[in-house]
Amino acid sequence: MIRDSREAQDAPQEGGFQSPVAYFKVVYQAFQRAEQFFGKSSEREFRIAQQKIRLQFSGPTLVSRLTPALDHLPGWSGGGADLTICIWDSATTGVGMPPPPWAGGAYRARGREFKCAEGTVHYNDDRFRMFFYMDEHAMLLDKQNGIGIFWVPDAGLLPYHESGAPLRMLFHWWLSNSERQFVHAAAVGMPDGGVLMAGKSGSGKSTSTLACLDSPLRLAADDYCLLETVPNPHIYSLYNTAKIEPSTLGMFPSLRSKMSNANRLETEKALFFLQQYFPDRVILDFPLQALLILRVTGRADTMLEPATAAEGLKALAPSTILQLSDQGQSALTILTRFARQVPCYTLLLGTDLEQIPRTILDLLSGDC
Amino acid sequence: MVLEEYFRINSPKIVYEIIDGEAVIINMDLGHYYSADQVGAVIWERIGRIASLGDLVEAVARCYSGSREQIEGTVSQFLAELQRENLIITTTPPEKLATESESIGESQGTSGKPAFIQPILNKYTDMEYLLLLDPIHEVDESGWPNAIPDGK
Repeated sequence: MIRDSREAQDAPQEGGFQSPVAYFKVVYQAFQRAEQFFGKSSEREFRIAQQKIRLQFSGPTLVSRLTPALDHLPGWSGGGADLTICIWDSATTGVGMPPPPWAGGAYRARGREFKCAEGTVHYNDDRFRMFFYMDEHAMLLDKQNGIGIFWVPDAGLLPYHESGAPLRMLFHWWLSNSERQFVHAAAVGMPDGGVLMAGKSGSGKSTSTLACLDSPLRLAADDYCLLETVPNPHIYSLYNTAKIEPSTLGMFPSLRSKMSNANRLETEKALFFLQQYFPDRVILDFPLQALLILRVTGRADTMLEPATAAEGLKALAPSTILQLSDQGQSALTILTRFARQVPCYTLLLGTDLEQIPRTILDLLSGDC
Repeated sequence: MVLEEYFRINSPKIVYEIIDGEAVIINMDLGHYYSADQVGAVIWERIGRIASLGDLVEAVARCYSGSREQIEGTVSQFLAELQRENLIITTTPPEKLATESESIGESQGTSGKPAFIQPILNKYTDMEYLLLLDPIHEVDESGWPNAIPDGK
């Protein structure tokens, strides 16, 4: 592991507590040194929910690992970025991540939270968010200046799920507010309306999403998306990916040749970048008309049953909040607002995949 | 448990919302989540404004018909269960008493009240894996992320 701790240790202290301003500056300087290694950085620009975002890579290595999932997002021109994310890896640049300067434990005081547990380090205050996951990756955000940092020790070791849903903690921190929330859910629809599909991992989100590929429904997300609740419920696509268990590949024979990781299926789910093969089947955003709770039945037919708003909330909120939210109560409030805004149904998933989009289309057209 | 002992939600580790008369509760530290409806939701909603056992018995008796003894005994058991799950903790009395008009359910005449039933706390643990990602690695004094070698 390449380490770069000298500057962090020299940074000023605040009453025995390392200043997050000083530490963030040290990390940003490390990125600037990494940029110099290649001489010229690479940039990608795109827009999510009216936010202009720029990815600034220290070199080309991570571009191909992080951007395919974002290739469907529209670019922007004019003015500066709202958020610039600085990205580097140590293996190709020789520049390490300055380690977090705070000792282990968990503290909450004066609007700050610090927690070191389960191989992770978190730091939150009104301005900064920081998250370190063992020696796998680190993400930091300075909300005041709109600067994010993403670091990995070795671009070649980036986990496939990070390529499938890159930078999600940074997007969550930047895009979630009192009116919208990064959510763990799938979404399919058309420009005039669609559905959010909730359920824990293995509940059928990806299978249901891919089952809509050959239907009029278009795909916004198979796992993560941005939910807006004010003034009306609306969904924004973040990633054009779909990933399924290799055992499920037999249900989608036409996709077999389109996997991005065909040689690693012993340890990874099959990962697809839909924009590369089905650009007209991907959709950027649409108004939401219903919340569907997914349930695999093993029967042939797909059916829809009315559900309560509380059932919808229980399907959507725990996995979203426990995975993504450092603001649990405000996130739960947003999700509750959404569960009250739209009707909830349980989608009893059958094995005849063609019935899934047909059932959703019937619901959207009011035929159910 | 005495009637004058006060309880509050164990926030911020516990977050909750009440939707359609059902309390949905999440333990952010353990990854467990819970739901309670009917009598359980009435009790939970009232604890959200800090309440004593006496306050809770009053709140339930306004919404449900049953003997005072039965209600007090059952509410007391339910509070003990909420405490075992670390969802609520004891606290000092509130400075200003909450207004009862905000409670779930309307105060009704004896004839219109549904019969008191035992409150049920449904517990779900299928998401706790999200918080059990990796074992804790002790770090040495030179800092993170170098783990101390095994056996040191």
